[in-house]
Amino acid sequence: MSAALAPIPLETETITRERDALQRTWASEPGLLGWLREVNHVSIGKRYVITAFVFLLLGGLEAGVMRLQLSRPENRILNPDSYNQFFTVHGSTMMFLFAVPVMLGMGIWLVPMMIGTRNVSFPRLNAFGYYTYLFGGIVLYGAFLFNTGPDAGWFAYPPLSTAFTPGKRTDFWAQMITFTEIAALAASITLIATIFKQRAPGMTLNRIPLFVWSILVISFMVLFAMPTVAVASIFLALDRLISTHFFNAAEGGDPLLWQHMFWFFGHPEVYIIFIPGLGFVSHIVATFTRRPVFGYPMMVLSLVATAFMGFALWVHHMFATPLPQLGQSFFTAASTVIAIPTGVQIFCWIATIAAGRPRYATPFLFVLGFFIVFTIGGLTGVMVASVPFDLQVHDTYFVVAHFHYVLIGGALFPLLGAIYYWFPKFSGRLMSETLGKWHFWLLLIGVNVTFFPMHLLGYMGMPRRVYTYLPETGWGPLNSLASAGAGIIVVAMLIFAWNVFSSWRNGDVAGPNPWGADTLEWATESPPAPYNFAHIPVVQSPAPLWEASGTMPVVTGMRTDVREVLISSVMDAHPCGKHEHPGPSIWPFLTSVCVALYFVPVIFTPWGAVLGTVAVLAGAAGWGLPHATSSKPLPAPGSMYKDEPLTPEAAR
Amino acid sequence: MTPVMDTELVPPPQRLVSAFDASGIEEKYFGTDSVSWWGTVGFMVIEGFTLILCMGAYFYLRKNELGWPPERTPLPDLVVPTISLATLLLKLVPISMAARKARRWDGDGVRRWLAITLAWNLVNLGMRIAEFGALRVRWDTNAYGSIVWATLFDHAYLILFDLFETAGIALVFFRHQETHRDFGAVDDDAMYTWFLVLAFIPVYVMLYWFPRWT
Amino acid sequence: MREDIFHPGGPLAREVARFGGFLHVVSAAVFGLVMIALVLALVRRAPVSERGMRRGVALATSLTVATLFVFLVYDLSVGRTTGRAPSRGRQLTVIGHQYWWEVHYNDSFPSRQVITANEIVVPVGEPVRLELQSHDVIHSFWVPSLRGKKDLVPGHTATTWFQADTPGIYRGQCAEFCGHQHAKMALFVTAVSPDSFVSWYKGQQAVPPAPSDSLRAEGLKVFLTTTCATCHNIAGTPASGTAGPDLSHVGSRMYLAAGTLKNTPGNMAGWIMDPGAYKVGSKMPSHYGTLTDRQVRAIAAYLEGLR
Repeated sequence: MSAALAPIPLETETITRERDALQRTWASEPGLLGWLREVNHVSIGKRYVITAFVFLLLGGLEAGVMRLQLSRPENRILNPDSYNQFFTVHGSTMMFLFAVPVMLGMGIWLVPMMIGTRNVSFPRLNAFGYYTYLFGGIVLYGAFLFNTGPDAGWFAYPPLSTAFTPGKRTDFWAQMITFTEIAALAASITLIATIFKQRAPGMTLNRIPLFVWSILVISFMVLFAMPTVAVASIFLALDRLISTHFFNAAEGGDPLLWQHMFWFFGHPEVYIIFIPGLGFVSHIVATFTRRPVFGYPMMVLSLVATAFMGFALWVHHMFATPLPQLGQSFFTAASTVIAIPTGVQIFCWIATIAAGRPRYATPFLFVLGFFIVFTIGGLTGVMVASVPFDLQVHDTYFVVAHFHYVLIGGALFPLLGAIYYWFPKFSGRLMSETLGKWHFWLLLIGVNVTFFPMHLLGYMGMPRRVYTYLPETGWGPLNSLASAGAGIIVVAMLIFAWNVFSSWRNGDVAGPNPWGADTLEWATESPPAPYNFAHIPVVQSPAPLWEASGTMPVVTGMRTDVREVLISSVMDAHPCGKHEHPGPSIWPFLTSVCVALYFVPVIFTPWGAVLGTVAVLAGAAGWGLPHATSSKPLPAPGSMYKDEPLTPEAAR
Repeated sequence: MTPVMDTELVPPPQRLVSAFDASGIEEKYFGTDSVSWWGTVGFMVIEGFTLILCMGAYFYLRKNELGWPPERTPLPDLVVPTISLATLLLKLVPISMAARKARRWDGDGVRRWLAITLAWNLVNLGMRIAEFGALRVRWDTNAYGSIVWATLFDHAYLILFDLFETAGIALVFFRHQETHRDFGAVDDDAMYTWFLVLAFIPVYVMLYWFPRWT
Repeated sequence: MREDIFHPGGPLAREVARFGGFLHVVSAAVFGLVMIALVLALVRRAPVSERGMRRGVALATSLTVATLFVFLVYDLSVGRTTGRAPSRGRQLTVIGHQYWWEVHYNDSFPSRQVITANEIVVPVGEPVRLELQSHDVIHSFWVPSLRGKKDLVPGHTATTWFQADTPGIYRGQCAEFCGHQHAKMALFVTAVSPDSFVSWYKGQQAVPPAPSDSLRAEGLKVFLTTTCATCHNIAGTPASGTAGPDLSHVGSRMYLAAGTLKNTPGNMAGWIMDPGAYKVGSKMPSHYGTLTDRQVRAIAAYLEGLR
C-alpha cells in the first residue's frame, strides 16, 4: 500500500523529464479534427465560457433593441410579432444559453485546478455536453434568424404555447431546452464525480474551496431541476406534435401542471445561477482582503440550505393562479426564510473585509458592486414573497427590476469580477485595471439607471412583456430613462470586450499567482499546462498556498505515459485508487450530432424519433465500443506498472 | 486559527517535496472507488427522477377527473403487465450472476450469463411492446391516455438503453479482449438493471392497480 | 384616471399600499444598515478581531431573523384581511379573450342580465364579486388602484372581489402574457354613485334605440347583411354573434378595442375598416375591399348611436 513519506525534495531534472512526458501524454492534437476530438477540461471549459459570452452579447443586443422600442410610447421599431420573439429569445438565451452554461463552464474550467487533479472524471461526456449545448444554441438562433424564433415567452405557458401558437416556433424552443438540459446534466454528473473522487490528497470536506462547494451544490440542484423542465418541455412538444393532452383543459389536462413543473425547475434555476456567483465572491473577498473568509462552515451550510430551500419556493411564481390560500402561506414562509442563509453569507463577507486589508483591484470592486445591487434585489425578493404585495406587482416591471437586480447583482457582477480575477490564469495576462474601473463604474451606474425606474413603472401598472404602451398611461418618461441606462450598459460592456481583446494580446504577463491568492489553481503556470500539475499537490490546510513555506508537498509515483489521475475517498480525500482517462475522441462530437438528428427532425415528423433513436444508439455504439477508443486493453492487476513509475527513490 | 496574510504578495512555492508516494495504488473497478460507478448512479438519479415526475403528473391530472380512468375509457389490462413485471424481475437472476462472475474475474462465466441476460432482454422488450396495447387507451384520447403512455414510454426507454448497454458489453466479451474495466462495466450494468426493475414496481402499481382502487 | 398601486381607490388596494409603505421603510433601513456596515468594514482603522467578527455576524443574523419574523406576521395578517371574500355584493363574470374582456352582470332573470366589454361600471362602497374564466389562453385580471391580480386559466374558474370607495375611472391591463396584443388589452372600472349606477344599469338592460336617421338605418342594414352580425350581438336585432364583444350599448363606452382608441365616430370607422392598423393580430378581420367608405361610416354612425 501507499505510505506517507518524509518530505523528499524533487530534483529539477526529474521534474523537467516528467513534465516532458506529461506534455506528450496530455497535449491537445492540432488541426480542426484535433479541435473536435479535444477532451481536456481547460479547453472545454474555455469553450463553454466563451460561447456563453457570445450568447450574452446576443441576448444583450436583443435587450437593447427592446429598450429602444420601449423608449417612447407607440414606438414602431419592433412590431408585436418581432417583439414577442425578441423577449422570448432574450429570456431563453440569458437563462439557458448564458447563465447556466457560463457557471458550469467556469466550474469545468476551474474545479480540476482548484482541487488538484488533471482532468474531470468523464472527459468525453464533458466534451459531448459542450457540443450539445452549442447545438441547442445554434438551433434556437438558426430558427430566430429565419423569423421562427419562439414567441410564447421563455416560460411558454400553455395553452398559448400549444394550441394558440401554430407553426414551428415553440417547437424549436422546446428542443433547445432539451439540448441545453442534456448538456447541463452531463456537466453536473461530471463535476459531482470529479469533486467527490478526484480531490488532491488531504483536501478533506472542510478544505474544499468555497467555489468548488458552490459548483457541487448546483450540480446536485441540476440533477433535479433539469429533468423537470426536460420532462415538461417534452410534454409540451408532444402536445404540439402528436396531440397529447397534458396541458389541454378540454381533455382532462391542466395548464397549471406546466406551471408547477416549469417553476419547480425555474426557481431552483435562479439559485443554480447565483450560487456559483457567491462562490466567486468568497474567493475574491479572501484574496483581496488577504485573509480566509470568516465562518467557512456557515458559508458551506448556507449554500446547502439555500439549495434545499430553493426547491420549496416554486409556487410563489403562481400566487395569482387559482390555488388554495393555505398552501400559499407555506411558500411565503419558505421564500422569507431563504433570505437568512444568503444574509449570513453577506454578513460573513463584510466581517472578513472588516478583519482584513482591502485592496481595491477591479475584481474587488465588482464584489462591492455585488453588495449594492444584489442587496436591493434580495430586499425586493422578500417583498414579492408576500402574497398580497406580490399580487400587485407580479408580472409587472417591478418584477423585471427585481430579478435583474438579483441576477445582475448576484451572478453577473461576481462573474465579471471572476473574469478579471481568473483572466491571468485563463490567458497568462492581466487585464487592464484602468479599463476595468471604467467598466465597473459605468456598469454600476447603467444597471441602476436602467432597472431602478422599472420598480416605479410596476407600481404605475405597467405589465411585463408588452411591446408598447399608450401615451396616456404616463409611463413614457421613466421608460426613456431606463432606455438611456441601457445605453450606458452597452458602453460599459463594449469597454469590457475591448479590455478582454486587448489584454489577451498585449496585457502584462501575469505569472502563476499575480494576486497572491491561496487556492491550488494559482500553483500552476498561467495558462496551465494540459496536465494542470506536474505533480499532484498534497493539501494540508484550507489555504494551501498561504501555508506553504517555500516548499510544496506533492504526490509522486503517478504514471506519465498514460492519462492517469488519482482517485481519493469522498470524505477525507485519502488516495484510494487511480483511474486512467480516455484520450481525445471524435465520438462525443459525433454523438452530439446524432442527438441533434433526434431532436431537430422530430419537429417536422414523429418519425424523427425513430431516426433519432437509431442515430443516438449508433453514436453511443461508436463511442462505447473498443475499436473506437484509443486506450489499449489494460494488463492484469499486479503486472500494471511494467515501465518503472517515478518514485522519489528512482528520482534520486 | 488561520493566520491573517501580511501585505507582501506570497511568492509561488518553488521547491517541490514528495509527501505521498502513489506508485503502490492501483485502479479500482468495482464500487464507489471507480468513477464509472458514480456516472451510473448519476444517470440513475436523473432517470429515476423523470419517472417520479411522470408519476407526479399522473396524480396531478387525476384530480381533474371524477372517475379514473375518465369516463368512456376502459380499465387497463392486468394480465400482460403482470407477466411483463414478472419477466423483468426474472431478468435480475442472470444479470446478477454475470456481475458475481465479473467480480471474480471469470470471463467465461460472464459470457455465459451475459448471453442469457441479452436473450432475456429481448423478451422484456417484447413484453413492453405488448404492454402498450394493454393500456387500452391511445395517447391522444385524453390526458389520462397521454400520461400513461408517457410514463410507460419513459420506462421503455430505460429497457431499451439497458438492452443496448448489455449488448455492447457482451460484444466486447465475445469479440474482443476484455479488460478489467469491462468487468467493472458488467457490475455497473447489473446495478443499473436492478434500478430499472425496482423502479418499475411503483410504476406498475400506479398504472394498473391504482385505477382499480379509485 | 387612476392606475397606481400607491393611489388606492378601495379597501383592498389601500391595505396593500399601507403594507407596501411599511416594506419600503424596512427595506430602505436594511439596505442602509448593510451599506453602513460595508463602508465601516472598508474604512475602519484597525482590523476587527475574530471575536468582533463573530459578534457582528451573530447580531446581524438575529436582526435579520427578527425583521423577517415581523414581516411574516404583518404579511399574514394583510393576507387574511384581503383574502377574505365578502358574502354579499354584485356578482359579475369576466371572460378573457385574445385581446378583450367580456363582462356579464349576472342576474337570476336572464332577461335582466347585462353583457358588456372592457368597461365595468360599479357603484361605490359596494363589494363586487368576480368569477373569472378564460375563453382561450391565460389572462390576468388586474386593476392596480383597486386590487391585485387573479389569473384567468382555461379549465379553472377563479373567484375574486374588489370594492371602490372613491368615484372615478380606474385603469388596468391584462397582466399575463397572452399573445400579440397583450399590450393592448386594457380594462376600465368606472366607480359611480349608487344612483348613477342604477340609471346606467337600467340603460344597459334596455333594448338600444332604433336608428334615428337614414345614415344610421343604412348602418344597421349593412351590419346585418354583411359579416358583422356573425361575430357581434346587438340586443333587439337579429345580430347575435358571440365571438366578438357585445355591441348593444357600444356607444356608451369610453374606448374601442380594449382601451386602444378613444370612442369617436372617426376612430370607429377607422377601426372597422382596418383593425390591424391599430392592433396587429386582433381577431377582427380587415374590411378593405369588402365594405365601402360610406358603408363603414354608416355602421360607425349607427354604433355610436347605441347608448
